[in-house]
Amino acid sequence: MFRALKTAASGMDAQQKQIDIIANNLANVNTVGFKKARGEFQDLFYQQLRSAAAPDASQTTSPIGLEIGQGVRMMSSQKMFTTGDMLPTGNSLDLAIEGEGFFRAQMPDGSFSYTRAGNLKLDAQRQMVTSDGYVIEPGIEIPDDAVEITISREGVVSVRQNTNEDIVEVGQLTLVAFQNPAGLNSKGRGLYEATPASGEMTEAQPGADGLGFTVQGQLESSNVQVVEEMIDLISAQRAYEVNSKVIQASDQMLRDATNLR
Amino acid sequence: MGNGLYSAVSGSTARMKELEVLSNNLAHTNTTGFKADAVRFEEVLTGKKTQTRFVEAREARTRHTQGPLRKTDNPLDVALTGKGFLVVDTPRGDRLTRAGRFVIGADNTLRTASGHAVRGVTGQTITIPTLREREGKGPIVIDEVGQTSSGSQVLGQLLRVSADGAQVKKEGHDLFRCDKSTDDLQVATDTTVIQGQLEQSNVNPVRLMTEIIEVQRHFEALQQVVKTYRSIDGQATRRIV
Repeated sequence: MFRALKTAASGMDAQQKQIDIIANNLANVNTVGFKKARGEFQDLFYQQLRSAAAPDASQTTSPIGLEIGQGVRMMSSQKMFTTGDMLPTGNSLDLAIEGEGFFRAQMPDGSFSYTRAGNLKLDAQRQMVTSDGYVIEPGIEIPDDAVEITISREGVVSVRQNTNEDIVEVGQLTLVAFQNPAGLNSKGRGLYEATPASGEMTEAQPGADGLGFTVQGQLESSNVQVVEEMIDLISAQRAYEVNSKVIQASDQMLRDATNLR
Repeated sequence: MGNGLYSAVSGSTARMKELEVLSNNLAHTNTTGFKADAVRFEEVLTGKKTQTRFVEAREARTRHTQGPLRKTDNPLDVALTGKGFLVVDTPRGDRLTRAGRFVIGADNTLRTASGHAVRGVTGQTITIPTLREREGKGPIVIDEVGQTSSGSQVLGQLLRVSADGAQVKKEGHDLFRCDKSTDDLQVATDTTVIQGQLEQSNVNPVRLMTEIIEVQRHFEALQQVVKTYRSIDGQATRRIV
């Protein structure tokens, strides 16, 4: 009936999705290893009511046509893999990645997921697992009688056993990086899944091949900046409001036209 | 029936078209690289004797003014300042864009968020080496002229072209279509590339809201004109019959 109604509705819809994204970012402001998402808007097709260079009444060609846009859409939500702040915890199984990279965790179905949430634990078999109990690959077992666990910046895990004064090396952590981390699929619980869009995978020990180092006793906090999100929230809310005003204006104009008779 | 009735109706239709353009602008207050459109009206004269005058929404001119920049700190975000455009390859041919939200494609080429490969000055796309190949060379740096490098290794230079506002048409999906072939366009030396920032929409919501109020009130006034004509014609009919 009136394109303006649908265009404004597309604006309201896109802004609502933006608010959904902001709400999720804000809800995860204290989630370890969380990466914020950013909504990306894009314009829709333009309807040509008059094409440019069409001859007009005065036998000249008009240099510009009349094209009316059909509104906006939320194109994608891009995950922003900027590094979050480092929080010292003093816990020997807390690991932060300083630089690029993910820990690789094996899912119960044998597939792999990737995470930056380094709040690791030990399971019943004393293997290093994520806080959800997924085994970190390559698997590292900590002996029963270990009294002290040391993880170097290069990912070497060593322990001191109470029967032995010497420090024994028990494993080597590796990290994985992707050419296009924004192309990873979020699975929730801080886990990401590789996709064809995430590109080439680099696996190496921490510090090698451009990967980050592992820092023991620290956790990477969420990279959500509350002030930034609040500004985005204000902007999205106001944009939603002005689009609703267009619907009111269009409605009023249609009512005026209807009242002609 | 008076000719003024048709003038009022043509005015109403033109204002409705204007509202459609304005509402599209408003829907894009938060769209990266978006440029607002403005409608130009024109008087149309039909019939030499009757002197009937109509108004018509003639063209939607895109206002290619600079949008404000926003810092994102993402190394693959670039904003342009100045009149130029970046060139991307699409299945339909070369297109221009100012939305510099880049990602690395699965084939390691630099692409826009919609997946179109970004053109370099040599006519080739720009390939970003993998993390392993980049080791020790430092992060990806895009300088003011679009030169993309990783440490001392130059990966390519973004092609910036200048196109006149009248030559480019919006195509949707952040893209502009140019009448001229990309090879005929001049390199935009006055256009600066700024890494880690994005150009916001150049829509000014406050100005737009006042324009919408103006459109709505004018439309209302025109409807009153139509109503007045109707009552005049009604009276004439009653008095004659």
